Amino acid sequence: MNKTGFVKALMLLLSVAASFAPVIYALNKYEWNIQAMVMPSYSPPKVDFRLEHSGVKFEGGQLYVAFKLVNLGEVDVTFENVNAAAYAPDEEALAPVILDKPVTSHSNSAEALILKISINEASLNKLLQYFEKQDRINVGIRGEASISVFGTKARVPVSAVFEISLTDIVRTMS
Amino acid sequence: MGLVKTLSLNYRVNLLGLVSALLLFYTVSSNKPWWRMAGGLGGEKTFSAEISPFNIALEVLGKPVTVPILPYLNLAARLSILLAAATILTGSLLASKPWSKPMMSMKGLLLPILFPGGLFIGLSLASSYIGANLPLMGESTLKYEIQYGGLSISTETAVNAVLTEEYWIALAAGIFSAFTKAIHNRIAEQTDSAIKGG
Repeated sequence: MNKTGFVKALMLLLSVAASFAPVIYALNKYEWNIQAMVMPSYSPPKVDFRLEHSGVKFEGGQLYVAFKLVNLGEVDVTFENVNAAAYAPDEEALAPVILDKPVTSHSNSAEALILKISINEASLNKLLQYFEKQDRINVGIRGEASISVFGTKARVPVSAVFEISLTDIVRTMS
Repeated sequence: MGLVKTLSLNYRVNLLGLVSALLLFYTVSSNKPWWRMAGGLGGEKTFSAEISPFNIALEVLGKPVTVPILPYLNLAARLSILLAAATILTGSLLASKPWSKPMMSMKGLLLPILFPGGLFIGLSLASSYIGANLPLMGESTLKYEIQYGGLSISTETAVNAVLTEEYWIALAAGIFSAFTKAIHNRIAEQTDSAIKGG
């Protein structure tokens, strides 16, 4: 074999070794289990939110419903807006619901999230009719929340129920 | 032949080969990505991908995605280009030797040519898997529906993808290595005829 032939053979040998040795090493390490080698592995961050009703306040024709937003997960979330409606116990729509102000919920912390229910005269009268029959009623809130997570905007269905009494309203109005 | 004679210091050293080898050494020693994709707004990243043949980093919601085979494929690519750079450097310094001709590797060009093709195939597979379009280059908005705990969550993510300057340096190194091989063939012809002419 002449020198050129030898260099050609050496180059081929080195190229094959460089290209295949790491892959063969990996195959050997994973006991030739190709599926285990090509399967992506990912552990998503824990997402765990709890919404606890913490009070109501009636002010300037608006009903403010406060919730304690507890973030037990690993993801920070900003609640930017809420587009929902409040429903009476008989599922009749009472009034539109929006978020009082944006709230950022950090991992392992609790924040106050306040929803603003725009009560007009008609919806107030409707609400008072329920109190003629009982002291306390359950008001449901259902709709969508616009949230921001890791730079992504998302629309998430929201659903919450809070209990309200005539005493609560009268106390906050006085 | 005048240009080849000049670029080879009178058929002794392949100068273009030295440049090509240095660029390949830079390329192979750099851990910077050739292609970068980020999803998210305001400095927050929903996901990110930083990819080069020598290093692949994927992150979704701040957590890494790992594929066991990838570091070994990256190592294979790194060793191949390191070998190509070393042999081009040696061959260029020994340009007058006829046996240096096989040392002029074209792998440095092959990788930057195959890279966008591989990305395109990878993105097409990922796009069909998630049911949304991921761009190879440029900006777009990724609209996606997630089913979570019985709820349907619709999301919108701004996506930006770009081929970085590292890619263009690697492509330049590859193009240089192709010219290097062409010049080396001319040098070899000249050396052969000189040997035959006695």
